[in-house]
Amino acid sequence: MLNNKGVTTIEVLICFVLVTIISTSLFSTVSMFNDKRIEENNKSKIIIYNNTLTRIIQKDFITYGIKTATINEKNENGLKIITVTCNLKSGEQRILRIKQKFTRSNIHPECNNEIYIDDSKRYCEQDNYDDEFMIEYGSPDKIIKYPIPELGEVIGKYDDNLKTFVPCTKNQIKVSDELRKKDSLTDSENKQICRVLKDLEINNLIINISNEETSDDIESRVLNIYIGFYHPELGNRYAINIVSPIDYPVMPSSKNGTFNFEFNN
Amino acid sequence: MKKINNKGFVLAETLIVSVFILAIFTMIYTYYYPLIGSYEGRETYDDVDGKYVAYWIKQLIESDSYDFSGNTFEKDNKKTMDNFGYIRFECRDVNENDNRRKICKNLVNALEISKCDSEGNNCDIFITHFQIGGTQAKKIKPDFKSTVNGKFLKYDKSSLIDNEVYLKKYQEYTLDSGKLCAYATNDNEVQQCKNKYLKSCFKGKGYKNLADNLQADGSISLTNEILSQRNTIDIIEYCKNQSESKIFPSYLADYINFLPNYTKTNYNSGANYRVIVVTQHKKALNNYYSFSTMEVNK
Repeated sequence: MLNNKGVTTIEVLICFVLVTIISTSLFSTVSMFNDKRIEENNKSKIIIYNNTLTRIIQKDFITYGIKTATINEKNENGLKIITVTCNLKSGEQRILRIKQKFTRSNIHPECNNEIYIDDSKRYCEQDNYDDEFMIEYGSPDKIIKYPIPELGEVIGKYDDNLKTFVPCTKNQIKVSDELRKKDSLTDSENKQICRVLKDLEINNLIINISNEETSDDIESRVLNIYIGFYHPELGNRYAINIVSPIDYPVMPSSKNGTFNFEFNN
Repeated sequence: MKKINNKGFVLAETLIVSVFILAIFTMIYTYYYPLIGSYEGRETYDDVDGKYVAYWIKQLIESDSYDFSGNTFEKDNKKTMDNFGYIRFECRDVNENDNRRKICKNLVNALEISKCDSEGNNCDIFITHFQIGGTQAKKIKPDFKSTVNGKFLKYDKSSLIDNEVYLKKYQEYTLDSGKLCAYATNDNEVQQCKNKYLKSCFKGKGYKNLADNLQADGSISLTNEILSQRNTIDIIEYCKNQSESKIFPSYLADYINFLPNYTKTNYNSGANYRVIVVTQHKKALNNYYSFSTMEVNK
């Protein structure tokens, strides 16, 4: 007669199944929370960057007031540079400079020395092959750089067969690093260069002065600065959005002819 | 551990533990998930950009060129404040001889204030008393939060209205008799009020001829000149829908109810009023609202 102590096979199997079900459901929940944590972390970095820059720029615009403003745009080998020069009422000057370069030229319409892959896609041959985004602000003799947050990057190159950018292997990166040291490259060598594609980009730039074209409303102009960011997971929701009237009339009661701004209620 | 019996013990133990763990995680899940939702909803409440938007509107309000108790374009601001606890800020109430009127129009459009027309009117900018709710505010009568939640003063100001009435946009206007449209009693008065709103809406959208051809019964005689203009039918439809829409839709009511009552003793700035601003972000294919408030010294 067999011993009654112990467990049956079916009981063990059922226990395994139950534990598997619980582990799977818990794992998916924990994994979801982990993804959420990473997303919130990225969001937090962007928001802190936006808020810091907004406060620095708005502090000057509000405290001193903008007297006049000009906007200048130029392109250097695929690098787009927008410069906003503000003459403040205090006599000082402030310069805001935004640099934007995409290694993927689909989004980057102005590009010197283009190489066409096919009718729909093209990429730029340029000295520096990587994405570059930078915001600089300050007085002309002291411009401070505010690099955008590093939220990840992909090192990749354009694949002719797949018609898209694919990540480079270690060997490809090694070859690419060697090729970068050369002064000039052939077409085939150019295609072997691995480029840095940043996850967080400056995607939308809308910088203008309202009614700039008409002389009628010269005293009612408003400077509008919109620097939009894009991240594959967060989308294009986050941006630096600064609006300030130009030559706004100061009330006689204001202290020293300036405004004061406090983050109270 | 005591053995219940020799057979099936491992299964019973596993079942008990698994039920226990599942119950705990369900409780945690149901507690934290709504928290995440409300946190994400409040991301747009009083953010840094919103505070600067409110700041510039505050500057316009505090300037000498803004007529606080304006009585322009068939609206009576004083009556609206006395009966509902708020005034809608509009650029037409800024002195037209002052450059700030043009700045106001450009500013509200650049700041993307919600519902503004091209002239800077009909914007979602509300000026209220400093205290917007609570037992202290009820002494001022009426408190703004009550209006937002469907309760405002009766016509004779004796008490709050009996049923919940969520104010519609045409009800902000004043009849020729001086009565606020929210107290309109018959169809004729209601139609007069709607016509006032429609005229304002058509003019704000740049369709003055629609406003001129609006009949007493609310119909519009569509002349060839009107029909030849682009999007005429869409504008008529839009303005009619807007006239019937709530002044305080749910997303705005949520924000206002979220705000504290602002008892005066906690703040020493001496401000008597507040401004509440709603911004609709549309750049870069976005479409979301943000809200902000700031105290106003006037």
